[in-house]
Amino acid sequence: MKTAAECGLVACPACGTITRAFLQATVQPPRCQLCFARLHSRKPMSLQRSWAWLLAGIIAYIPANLYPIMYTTVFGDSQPNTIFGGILVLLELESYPVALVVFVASVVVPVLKFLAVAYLLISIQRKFAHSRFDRTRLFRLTEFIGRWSMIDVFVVAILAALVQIRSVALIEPGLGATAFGASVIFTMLAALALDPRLIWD
Amino acid sequence: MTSAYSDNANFKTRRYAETVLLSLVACHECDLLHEKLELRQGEVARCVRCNAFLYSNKPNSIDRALAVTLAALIMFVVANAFPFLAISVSGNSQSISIVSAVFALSDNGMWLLGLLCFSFILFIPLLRVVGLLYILLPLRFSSRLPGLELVFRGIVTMSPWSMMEIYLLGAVVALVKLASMANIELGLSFWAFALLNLLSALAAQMVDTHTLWEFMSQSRGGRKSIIDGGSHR
Repeated sequence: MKTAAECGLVACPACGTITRAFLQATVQPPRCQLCFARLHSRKPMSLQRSWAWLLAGIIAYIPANLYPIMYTTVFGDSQPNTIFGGILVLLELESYPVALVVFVASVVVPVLKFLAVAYLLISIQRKFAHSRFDRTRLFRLTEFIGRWSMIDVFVVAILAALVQIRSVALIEPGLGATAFGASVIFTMLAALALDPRLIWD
Repeated sequence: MTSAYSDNANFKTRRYAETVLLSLVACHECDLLHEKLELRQGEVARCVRCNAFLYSNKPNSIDRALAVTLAALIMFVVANAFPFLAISVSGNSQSISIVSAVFALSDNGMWLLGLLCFSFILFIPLLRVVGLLYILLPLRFSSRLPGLELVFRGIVTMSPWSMMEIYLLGAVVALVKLASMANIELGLSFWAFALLNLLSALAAQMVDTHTLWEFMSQSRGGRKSIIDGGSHR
C-alpha cells in the first residue's frame, strides 16, 4: 500500500502512464512519452493557486449580490433585480421548487463551496490526518457541483434574449451577472487547482 | 567484454522494470498504486483507499461511443438550426435560438460574459464532439490521425467548461419565471438540445479515459514499445 510518489514514480496527469521520477531531472521539460503532457507528481503550487482563486471568487461574490443581475421594465416601469430579490419573486409566484433550485444554486452552493475549499486548504496546510476519505468525498462534491451555479447567469441571459417586447416588457442584464459569473469561474478554478492527492500525503 | 556484458544485463533489468511500471495504475485522486487487473465485461476498478474510479471494461466501447458521438453532432446542428423558445404577450411575439442568449449579453455591453457563455454552451461542447470524432473514427479502424494525444488532452481539460446541461436547466427556470405572465412555446431546438444533453452524457458513459488511452497507445504499437523506444532516446 504505497503511493506512486513514495516509490519514486510519477503518474502522467493526463494519461496515467507511470514513469520513474528520476527521468524528470534528466529530461527538461519532463514530458510523458505516451501523450507528451508535462509530468508532475503533484499539481505545481497547488495550494497557493487555489487560495488565490478562492479569494478572487469570494471578492467577486460581493458585487454579485450588491449589483442587480438584471433590470425588468414592465410598461415603462424599470426595476433592478438582485439575486436575493429574484428568489423572493419566485416565492411570491408560489413556484417553490424553482425558488429552491435558484436558492441552492446561487446562495447555498457558492457559500458552501467557499467554505469547503477553504476547509480543504487549511486541513492540508495543517496536515490533518483524520477523515481523509470524507475530505476526498467533499472535494469530489465541490468539483462536481460548482459548475451548476452558472445557472443564474444563463437564466439572466435567456430572459434578456426572450423578453424583448418593446411596449410591454423588457429585461436587460446587469453588472451583478458578470460579477456572479466571475465568482463561479474563479471558484471552479480554485477547485481545479487543488490537488486532492495532497489530502493523503 | 565485461563492460559490454554488464551493460547488456543493465539494459535487461531496465526493460523488465519498465514493463512492471506498465502494469501499475496510480489513483488520480490519492496517488495510491494498484496493480492493473484484467476486468470482466461490465466490471469497474476503483481505488481501494479513496474509492475513486480507476478504469472499467465496457463492451464495444469504441463502437458505442462513436455512434453516440455522431448522433450528438447531428443533434448539435439541429439544436442550432431551429427556434429554441418563443414567447407571446398580448399579441406581440418573440422567438429566440440558443445563441440569442449570448447576443443578449454582448448587445448590452457585457461582451466578456457573452463570450464566456458562448464558449460554455456552444464552442466548447462543439469542440468536444468534433474532437471525439477525430479520435474515435480512426480508432474504430485501428488507425490514427496526427495530434491524437493533444486533442484528447484538450477534451479532458475542457470538460468542466462544457455547460450545456446547466444551460438547459437555466432555460427551464426562465420558463417557469415567465409562465404566469406570458404564453411560452418550446421550439424544436429545445427538444433537440435536451436530446443532445442526453447523448453527450451517454457518450461519457460508453468509454472511460483509461480505456481510451489504452486504445490510443495501441494505435502507436502499444504502451510497451512506445516506452522502450523512448528509453533509447
